Amino acid sequence: MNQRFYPPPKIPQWLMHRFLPQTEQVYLGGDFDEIYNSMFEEKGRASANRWYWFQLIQSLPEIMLNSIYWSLVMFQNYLKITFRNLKRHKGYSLINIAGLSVGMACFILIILFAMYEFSFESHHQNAERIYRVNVEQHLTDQVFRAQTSPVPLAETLYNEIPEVIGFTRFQSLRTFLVRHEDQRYYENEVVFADHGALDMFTFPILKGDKTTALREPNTAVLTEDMASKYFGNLDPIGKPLEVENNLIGKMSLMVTGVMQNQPKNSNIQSNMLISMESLKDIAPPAAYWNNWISQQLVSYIMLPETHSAVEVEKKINEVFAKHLRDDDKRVLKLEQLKRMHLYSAFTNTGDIRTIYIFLATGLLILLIACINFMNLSTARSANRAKEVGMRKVVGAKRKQLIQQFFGETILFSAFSMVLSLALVYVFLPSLNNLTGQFIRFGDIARSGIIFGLFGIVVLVGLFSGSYPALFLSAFQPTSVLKGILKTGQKGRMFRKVLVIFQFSITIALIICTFVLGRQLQFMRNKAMGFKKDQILVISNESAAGSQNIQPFKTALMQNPRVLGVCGSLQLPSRIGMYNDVTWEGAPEGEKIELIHNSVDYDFIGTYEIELVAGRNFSPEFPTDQRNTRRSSGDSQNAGAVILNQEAVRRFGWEDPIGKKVIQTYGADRNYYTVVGVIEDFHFSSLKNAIRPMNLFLSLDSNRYISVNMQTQDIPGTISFIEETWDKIYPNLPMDYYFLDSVFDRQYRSEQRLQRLFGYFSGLAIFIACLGLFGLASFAAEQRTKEIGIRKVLGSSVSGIVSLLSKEFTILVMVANIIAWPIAYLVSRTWLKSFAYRIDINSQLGYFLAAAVLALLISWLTVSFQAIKAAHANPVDSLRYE
Amino acid sequence: MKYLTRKEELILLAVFKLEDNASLVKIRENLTASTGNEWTVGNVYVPLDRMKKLGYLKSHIGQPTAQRGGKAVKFYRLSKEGKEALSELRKVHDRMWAGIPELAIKKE
Repeated sequence: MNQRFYPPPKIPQWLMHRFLPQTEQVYLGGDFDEIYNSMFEEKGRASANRWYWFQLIQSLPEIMLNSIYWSLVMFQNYLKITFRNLKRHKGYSLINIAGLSVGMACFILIILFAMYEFSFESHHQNAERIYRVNVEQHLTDQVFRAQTSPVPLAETLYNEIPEVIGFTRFQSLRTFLVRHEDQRYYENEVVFADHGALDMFTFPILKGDKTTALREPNTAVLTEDMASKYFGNLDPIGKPLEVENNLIGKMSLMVTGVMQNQPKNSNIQSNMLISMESLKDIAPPAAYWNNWISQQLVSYIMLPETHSAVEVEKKINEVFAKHLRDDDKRVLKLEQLKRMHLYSAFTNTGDIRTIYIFLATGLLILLIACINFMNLSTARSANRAKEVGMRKVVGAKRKQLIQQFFGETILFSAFSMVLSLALVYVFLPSLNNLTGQFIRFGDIARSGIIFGLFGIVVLVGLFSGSYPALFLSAFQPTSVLKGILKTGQKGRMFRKVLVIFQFSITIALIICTFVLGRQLQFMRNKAMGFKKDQILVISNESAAGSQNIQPFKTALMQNPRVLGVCGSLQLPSRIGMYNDVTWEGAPEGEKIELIHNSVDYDFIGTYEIELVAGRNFSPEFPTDQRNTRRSSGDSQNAGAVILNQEAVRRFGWEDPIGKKVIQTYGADRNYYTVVGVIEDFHFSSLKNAIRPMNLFLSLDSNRYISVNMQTQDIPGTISFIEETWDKIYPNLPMDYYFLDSVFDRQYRSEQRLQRLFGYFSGLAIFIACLGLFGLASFAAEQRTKEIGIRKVLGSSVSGIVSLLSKEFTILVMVANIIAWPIAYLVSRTWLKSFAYRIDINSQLGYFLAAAVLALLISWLTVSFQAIKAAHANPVDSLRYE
Repeated sequence: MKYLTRKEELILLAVFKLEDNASLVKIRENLTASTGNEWTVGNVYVPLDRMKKLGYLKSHIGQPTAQRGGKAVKFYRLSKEGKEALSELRKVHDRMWAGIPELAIKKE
């Protein structure tokens, strides 16, 4: 007999190796090879090869189906056992599933939140090629960053640098009164844009011509919603529209296009684009079109598919420097559209750190839930030990047992996933409400999340099943069946460590929530230096804003409930405009940026701001009026100025009254005389330090009218104000809000953080306590006989309760010791982002409070079980002994 | 007792006849020879495996040979249940066939 072995073809051999059932591989493979070899000798290679291939195609499916069938038979048994266990131990199953599904729901919600944040601007097809040109200015002691840039910048870059293949400027000119026939509304999202906007950005045009829509002056593109708001069902193309505000007066437009409504997950929100050309004749060339100094609009440029932003940034800075004065130290920074929302140092939109914090927290909560599962299943291992023993005796391999337990946990986790999706469905609206996002439940099905959910099920199942599977499957059948295995003794230390871990996380979360809350409370209650409650602000963007509002003021003051009325260019809560100034006695070339506001005589009185030196603006001094004639030459007496203490401190003046502040316009200098000094007040969020500011007197900069009211009968006062408004400005709607609402909005992201953390720590403690409850009831069950004997020997109920709670108390205490330093470090880092903050060391009481809270809750949980056990009649537990 | 399928019955008989030599390859050769049809490896293996799991067959591992590429061979043998099943089948067959005259297929 020929002993030579002819190896069969490679590919089918590999396929067989891959798909034959593992246990049979050697024998079946050998059978195939043997037949192949005898064929080879009889009929030659070709027909043997052919046979081999056909065999494979014919036999493999059959063999595979067979092995799948038999493994299903076993799986059926696993399923049966799982459901039996589930039914028999309803309490434990409930704890496991409840914990897991709450944890998962929390995690899914956070993932949805994060995905929404990451999705910002992703609908713009060129999001990776479009860059916003930001301006950064490094001064001696601070850095100013602005998303705004000079007007001529973008076009110049486009003309001078070949890599810049497109540009758009977005000029927002605040609120407009928009009018078509008798439809009149205030619109906040009206933006002037270059025609490049429609090419670069993805604003799908539904009607009209994309290439020409914004080229001509006085043309506008509306969103669908706007079109139906003003034109109903009529075709808006070619229809006239009128816009008006105090900056540009009245302007007549023609609608040339309708674009799709913009998605909410975008920071470039505009419901009406007006061609930049429309400003050509209105805006002055020197102060606007060729002004390289002030930064009035937002510029975007587009680069080719392959580009290096770093190199382009270098080039645009070279071009920029050519147009700047030598002492101008501003530099340009490019920022990719895609990264704008989360990574920008120039705007205050999303924050990638917050998202990471949330993701980490969600993961930790899920971890706490998984640990519950591990703890409970190992604790109850004794109950399963006999099953494991039996299975091993009848021939189960360890691998099969591991598979069984993993299968069980995955089943549990799949079950929890279904429940958690229901929870997500219920709580998604609340999340949207909290975060101001617009996520719909249907989004889960659409995106790839569904695979992610599947992944979560498997991962959670594998993770929480890992320890039980390895631990339970290692039992020796002989010792288990003989009853040698002490119930629940094994893995006790491990369980303790896990409980400590769970509670450390929980306590740290509670502490962080406390600290966040304290900081927010501190910011809201800190004396701002001016009155912010019961101040009604009328936003006066129409042409009336530049008129004298004296008649309105006088009419309002007739009402004793109105304490004061004033007009101003800015609200005390907003920084929007800066002035570069020098001052009397300033070192050569030294400049300071002052925050600028133009106000009338009653501003300081209405806002109850304290004057610390000098006097308020007064009609008795006509020279107080700002002399805005900037024809040419220096103006020795440009008007009066009131500074805040910070400005005086920065100027280094001992006696500021009568000193001069100098504002330069090109070569011209305007001298303002200091007439008064006001106390520093926090004009913006307490996140920022107080900055130097000045007030000018101006009677026609009445963009905002503020009304200080008495607390009684506010609705009555408001309707009085509305009636007066309608009498004096019959054609204008009145748009008003309360100042404190603006303030609270500034802390919205912190508030959101705090509330979410509140919920998170609530959930964490809920899940952790579920686990503790399960462990406690298990401990009580295990020690039934011990408790019975103790009672017979005269132990009191309280003695037994403390016996049972002692162990858990120690665990929670240890968890505290671990949680404190972590919480301390985390909250200290977070507090550093506030200029005015609470001292973390003064908040240590809250660390103790968190500890006490955690202890109390865990005692409550444990003692419920302990008292039940302690009250049990010893006769019942000892009867069978 | 559960009735075996025809295929299974044939395989049991082949295993019985081959005695100590009942490897999959030999069973297959035997079946092909006596039925005249080509049996694929899968056709033979699947019923073998099923009957092993149902307890009619036992298996033991033999020595690897060069012809098999150094892989071991699995031999099958009837278990007690397998033998009982076969003899039961035999009885059923005999009872069913009893009284039926030789089927003479007339050639016309």
